[in-house]
Amino acid sequence: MTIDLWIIAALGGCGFAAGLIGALLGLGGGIFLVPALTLGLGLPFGVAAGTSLVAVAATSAAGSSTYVRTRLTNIRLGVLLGPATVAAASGAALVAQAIDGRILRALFAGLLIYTAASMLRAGQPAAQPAARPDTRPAELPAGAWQLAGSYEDAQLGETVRYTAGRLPLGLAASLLGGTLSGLLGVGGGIVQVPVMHLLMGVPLKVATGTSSFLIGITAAASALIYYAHDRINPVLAAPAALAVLGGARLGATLVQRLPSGTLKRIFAVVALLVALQMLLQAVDACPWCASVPHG
Amino acid sequence: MDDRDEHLLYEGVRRTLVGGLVLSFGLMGLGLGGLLLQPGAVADAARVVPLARLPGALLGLRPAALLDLGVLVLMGIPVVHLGVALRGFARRGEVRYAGAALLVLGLLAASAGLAFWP
Repeated sequence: MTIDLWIIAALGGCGFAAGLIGALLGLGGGIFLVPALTLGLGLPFGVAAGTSLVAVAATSAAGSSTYVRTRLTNIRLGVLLGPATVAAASGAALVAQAIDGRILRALFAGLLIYTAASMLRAGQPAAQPAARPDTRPAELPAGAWQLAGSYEDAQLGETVRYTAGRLPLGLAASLLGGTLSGLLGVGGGIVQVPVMHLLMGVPLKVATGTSSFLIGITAAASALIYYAHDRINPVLAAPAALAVLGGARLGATLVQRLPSGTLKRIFAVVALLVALQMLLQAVDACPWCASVPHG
Repeated sequence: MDDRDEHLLYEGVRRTLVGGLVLSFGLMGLGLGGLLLQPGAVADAARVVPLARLPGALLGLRPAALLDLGVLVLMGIPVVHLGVALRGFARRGEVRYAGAALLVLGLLAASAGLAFWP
């Protein structure tokens, strides 16, 4: 592929949109950037995933710097879950170098369908949380692997104290999140955040902040493998990282002003269409797709 | 851990994240700027510079090398902030968390070793 300034500008636009929409929907940029790189720019799936990981790591570092300042990242919980996600991400990234790109495309399509379904469920009125700024975690049974934490909630105007438990579930989610990251070039927060919040008793804001912290570690482990296998395109990765970051910053500002339910439904439809296109590409049955190497 | 130590831990990690990001984006920005001045070097920069050749390429001020170094600095941020966290936990005798941080660092080192093993 010949790279010129127009492609870099187009990528900047895609990256900005990925960061913006991701921040509005509470997702990382990878879920949008990988399809943009592979379907839009015709990159082989492996290079798209590796390049996306650079943007994911940048977004994580920027987000985490804010979350750590406000104590919405629980560093201790992140460190405890880190070994599982790093081991899984490294192993999956190594495996990804040997897997046919068609299989990875099909897996990515599956991830998109899962994400779209999650968005549709969350967008339904009955599934909307009550008018509380943050949902409180359920009381957990006492256990040896509990981890207490607290943060100042500006919206509630009080200190929220919580206890995270059921660490084995968190480790399992981290294994899955790391595997998705290493294989598909995404962050893995789509798995980790719900598990931390719903099953481990971590407040949603802290689950999001801790997941962001973990994603940076995970993406670094995966990206090193992709870098060593020449599966990162630095000319595309740098503007993509800058653009995703800019979009995510704007999205974080706009998130309170836009109707999230409508956005989620729109995203779900787009994600399903992209998933369909990726599945068709995976089986070489997409007549309108550019012919690209599968690797 | 008392509030001051806790503050130092979180502030140390935050500074590492911000500093690493600024350094990484600065290098990537310089690399992209170099590509604007030398459009012919774009094709060269589309593939990563092998690690063994990176120091020479940096000394030659090749835009591709600056871009790659920016990417590698980004990958290195977790190593530094985990090191900061490890030191904080170790100073306070929080063995469980220090051990976990050390394990993550060991796994990252193993990952790098596997990745770049000739």
